[in-house]
Amino acid sequence: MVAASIFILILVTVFMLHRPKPKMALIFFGVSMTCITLLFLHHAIDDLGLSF
Amino acid sequence: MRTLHGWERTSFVLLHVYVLGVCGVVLGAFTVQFLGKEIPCPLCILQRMAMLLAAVGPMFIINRSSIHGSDSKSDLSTGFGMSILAALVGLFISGRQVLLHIIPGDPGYGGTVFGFHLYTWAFTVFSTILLASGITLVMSRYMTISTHVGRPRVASRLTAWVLGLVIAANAISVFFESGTTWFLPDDPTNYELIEEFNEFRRHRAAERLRHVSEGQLNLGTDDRLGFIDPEDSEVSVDQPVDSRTP
Repeated sequence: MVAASIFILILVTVFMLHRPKPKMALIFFGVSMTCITLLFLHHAIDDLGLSF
Repeated sequence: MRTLHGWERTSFVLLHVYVLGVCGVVLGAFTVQFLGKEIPCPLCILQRMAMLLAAVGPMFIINRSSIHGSDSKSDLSTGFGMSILAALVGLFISGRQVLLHIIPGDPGYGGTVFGFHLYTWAFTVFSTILLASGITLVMSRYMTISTHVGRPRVASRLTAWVLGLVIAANAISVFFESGTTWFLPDDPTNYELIEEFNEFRRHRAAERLRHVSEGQLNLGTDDRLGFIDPEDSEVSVDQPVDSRTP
């Protein structure tokens, strides 16, 4: 469900592009990218228990 | 509406090609998923997300220049900056998956397309996006994107629709894959939502059969979903309740 929500977030970002002010589109873009990064960390790195 | 000429027109067309190209790559992955019956792993899904997010950058430039007619130079920087950030995230994800299967003898995840796995292709696509965005930013002083105000062209609206539909299709596909669980399984073998629905139906049928056996259900009125065929039921409703075996 988290993955599907992120796709919906990206879809909302595309809708926000039609607004006159670009601020909301940029905010949604940032939130989407942060969510993708966090989900990547969850799936790819958390289980390995790596220490940096 | 102003007519575009020369390099200005080429740049504008290339932005559309950029967005549609990314959509084409994701649709290619869809083809492998449904025709090749390969269920994408979480990392594949993350790569699709990053790829579609990278396409939002050029879509931003198209929208800003064709609808709002704002300063094209700053919008160009913002749009390609968005693409570079998303492509960087995608490059990390696909690079991680390439390294996961790079050991000699490892068959890799899923089938291959022209000799390479999909995550290797994704790595190539993200590298290309980074390269193209970088070159465009370096050359931006010589570039002008349309700065007219008015209704977007048919091609721009069509491109936005294609991008939106590809994202929506991915959302639905991933929902079917993950079902009602929070995260995708590491090595998916089936569509969880369909499995959960089938499990729910089996559970309901078993529950109703149990109620019949306990004499709590009137088959004539309560079996509205039609899960129970009275003739197939091992328990007779005419049988006295005390003599029925659970």
